[in-house]
Amino acid sequence: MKKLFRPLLLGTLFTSLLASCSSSDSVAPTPTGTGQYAYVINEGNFSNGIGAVSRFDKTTKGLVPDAFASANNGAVLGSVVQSMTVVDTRGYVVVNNSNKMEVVSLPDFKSTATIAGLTQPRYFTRSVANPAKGYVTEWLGGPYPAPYTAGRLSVIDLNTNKVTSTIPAGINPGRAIVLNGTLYVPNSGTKSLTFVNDATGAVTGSLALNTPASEVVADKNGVLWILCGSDYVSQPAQLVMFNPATSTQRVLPFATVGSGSGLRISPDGQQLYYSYRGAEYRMGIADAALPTTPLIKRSFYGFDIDPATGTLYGTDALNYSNPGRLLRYQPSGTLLDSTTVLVSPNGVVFY
Amino acid sequence: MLVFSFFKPGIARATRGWLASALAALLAAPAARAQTAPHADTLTTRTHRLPAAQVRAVQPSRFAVGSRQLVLDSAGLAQYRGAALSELLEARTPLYIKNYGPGQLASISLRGTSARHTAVLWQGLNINIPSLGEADFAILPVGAATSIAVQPGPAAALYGSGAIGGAVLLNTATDWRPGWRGSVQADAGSFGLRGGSLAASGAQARVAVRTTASWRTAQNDYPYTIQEARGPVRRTLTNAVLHHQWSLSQDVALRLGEAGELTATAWLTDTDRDITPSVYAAPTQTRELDQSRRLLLSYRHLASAQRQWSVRGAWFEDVLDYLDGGAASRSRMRTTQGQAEHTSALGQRGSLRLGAEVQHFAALVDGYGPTEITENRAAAFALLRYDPHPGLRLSANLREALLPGGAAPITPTMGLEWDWLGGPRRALADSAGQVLTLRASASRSYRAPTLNERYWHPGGNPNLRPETGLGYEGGLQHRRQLGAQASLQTELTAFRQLVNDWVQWMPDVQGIWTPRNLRQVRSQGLEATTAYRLRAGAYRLHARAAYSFTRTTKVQGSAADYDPVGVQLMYVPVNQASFTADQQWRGWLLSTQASATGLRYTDASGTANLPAYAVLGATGGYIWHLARYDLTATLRGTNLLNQAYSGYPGRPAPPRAWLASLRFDWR
Repeated sequence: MKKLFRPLLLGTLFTSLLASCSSSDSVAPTPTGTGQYAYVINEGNFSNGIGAVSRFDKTTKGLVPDAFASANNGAVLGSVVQSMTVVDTRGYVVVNNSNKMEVVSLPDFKSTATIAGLTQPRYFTRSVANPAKGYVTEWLGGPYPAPYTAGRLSVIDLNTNKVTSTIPAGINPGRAIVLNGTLYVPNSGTKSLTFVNDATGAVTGSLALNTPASEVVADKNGVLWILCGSDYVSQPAQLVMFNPATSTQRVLPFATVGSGSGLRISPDGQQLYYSYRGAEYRMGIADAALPTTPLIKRSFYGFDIDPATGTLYGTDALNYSNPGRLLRYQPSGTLLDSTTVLVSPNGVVFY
Repeated sequence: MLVFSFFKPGIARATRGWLASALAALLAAPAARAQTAPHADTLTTRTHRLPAAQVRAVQPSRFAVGSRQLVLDSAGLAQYRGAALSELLEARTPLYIKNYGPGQLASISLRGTSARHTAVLWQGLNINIPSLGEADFAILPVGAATSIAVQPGPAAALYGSGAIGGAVLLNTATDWRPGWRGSVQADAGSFGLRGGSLAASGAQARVAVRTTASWRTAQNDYPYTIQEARGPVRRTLTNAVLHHQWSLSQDVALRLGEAGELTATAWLTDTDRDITPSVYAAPTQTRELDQSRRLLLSYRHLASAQRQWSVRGAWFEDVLDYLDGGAASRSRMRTTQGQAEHTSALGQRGSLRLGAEVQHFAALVDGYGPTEITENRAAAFALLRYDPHPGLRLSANLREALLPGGAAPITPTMGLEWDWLGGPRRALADSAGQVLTLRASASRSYRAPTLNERYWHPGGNPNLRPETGLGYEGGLQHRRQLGAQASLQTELTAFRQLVNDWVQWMPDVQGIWTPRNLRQVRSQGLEATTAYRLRAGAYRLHARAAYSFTRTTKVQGSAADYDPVGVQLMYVPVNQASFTADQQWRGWLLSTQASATGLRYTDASGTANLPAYAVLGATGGYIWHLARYDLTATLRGTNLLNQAYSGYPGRPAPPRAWLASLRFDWR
């Protein structure tokens, strides 16, 4: 998310919040860590953007609202906490408006390093070809009223926590995934998917799309699913299936104008989840058409699936100025429980 | 006793009728009482310093019976002449100003309401920025006004749209005293603060002119401490430069014949400042340029001993350019407006004002799209003041506004003041006397939707209804003369107001943020003030203490509104207290200010907060009185105890800071 700090220019807020509505996504998750905790990413308050990560204990249902402050002498994590990626026993927390990543040990959340000097960082992805390397997508240009320009990925050496090089991307790159030696980067500003060789860091190509490419996941067959949102609600969103092996694609347009968001895939790589027009949908990767009946009639700001149990975790940001809710559902869509977390929860990470 | 100057003395002499004299006495009574009463700025007195003007305007506050007014005294205005209105109000009144830091957006919260619920009037015309419907008190320099007053509580019948929480009244009175007078002041302070100001005025028989100018700059590169994972870290604030702030005003008044006065006024302000990010956020190059040009032409005519009328035309241009890294979001709003009113005496004990106003807005705002949008509003009002006898004063006012969405609800106000113990004048003449006055008022109020609320693209809601308020207040004012040298004034006020159709921006089903009439908000509380004045030989003391208790909560809301009911609104302190003491002895001056602000919630559920804080400030100085000149040197210290506090999270307030000023007055 962009700057939240222009109280006189309400427009900034609307534009940035709109942009942030298409938040995160991921490749089919695999269980890591203890399996005991769910970390909730809270972007922060509408007016001040001071974010935090909450640690939810799946067994006791106890919550540490601000895990970073609790473990680090009350320190503030930063402004607009965007995402977190687990790498072995470390959490890489991307703090968008502070232009940094905090590296924390898990599960205690003690700070071990700060990677500063980034520019509007969004999502961190670990390399498969070189496990001591990671990529963080960054937006360049902007924020409102300045136009966004082509973004990039900064390559991070996970031993030194330094940026070693950068890779060009399209405008406003989102979360990248690694599949079969290639890094796929969705670009919401250029309506494209950028291909990067994971071993060499070279850009090898791109795929043009019809609407802003907000999120990409890979299914169990190595096929990419790209959720292409709507440009300021000007056209229907599209779900695009793209097979990198054959370079074939199939477009599934949504019936009505509006954005989709929160594209996720189940741990077995067979079920897709997304949010559209105030409800959560699920479809099988073999289904011929988009589902018409929602799984859950609720709008989530973040949605993730626990790889250990298959439990569905939705976050509701309510009106972005109150502590939001973490809601847990059985895989069938039946509500299990809910917990109040902090302001603007945009997703859940499991450890 | 003062000469009532609503009417020109020449006409009063010519008529010499009992009617004119009685009317003059009636209309002058409150002013006379105010003049002889101890001059405390915390009390309800509608103070009219009446110079020997020929055609004197009857101020709208004459019809505000039953309401309090906080009148900023001349000592405060002189000390803060080069400063912004936010600094003056924070230091000299018990009001809460929400502040993002020095030079940054500063907005007022009157009786627990939002900034858009306070009407800011200059010469009786609303100067809230039309796009936002609120004023930034950091970009209103103090020096252009000769009188500043704040009237808490709803008063839409008198002051129009936005007067739900209250009104801030900036006025410039023509000084018809013959000759020239003026002053020049230079300021220098901590963290790169430099400034200067000038005021000069002069008058002859038929012409009076007044010019003011002020300029200021500040680096605001002060230290603060932030808690990081490795422990507390001391840093220096960046991106907080006030590049410049200047203000220029020019008034010219002409007497036309025996009964007319033509006044032309121009007020230009220009502020160029960094927009400071939160200290937790990355540095930015964000900058904002705010410019306002306000031109006013007014003609007032004394038609007879019982009637005066006036017409006014004004043209305002507000420019708000928000710049980031070479890109700009620009706003240019022009307001053209006209006002006409007629005031007449009703028998011996009443006066009636009838008037109407029209406003035309033209806004070219990047956020609305490439074309200019326009909007017209109009209103008619009737203000009645009736005093059955000098100890009982009543008012009944009414305003009806026409907005683009149709007529706003009619907004009446009723007010009463009754001197329960002690006469209005006799008691004060008696050195042991005391006066106890009861007062009460009830008022409806409204706020027209702002241009942003109606036209922002995407999300603007042209179907938004005006917010409406219904408020009541009652109070007791006690004034007591303590011997020949001292006096004590104490006042207690209780208020309660319901605001309906309170506007909240919410994302719609598509995720587009849009304003909607979502909730009902109730604000209620208590305000207590006391002022003590002492004159003993060459020593003067004026001490004031104030406390306010404000409970503002949402009481009802639509299903789409997630904010809980019953929780104190964000950034509204429940408790607020202040103390000021001004002392003089021979040429020495010492002003001390202390204020305490209670805990403020930073989210709508009351789960996160900013802790309470107290700050102390003082100004010391010396005046050298020379033959036709005065030379004043002052040193002001703010946050003397070096408290760490903030108005918003991530916005540390400045530490202890100093300001040295040198002023040269001639007369």
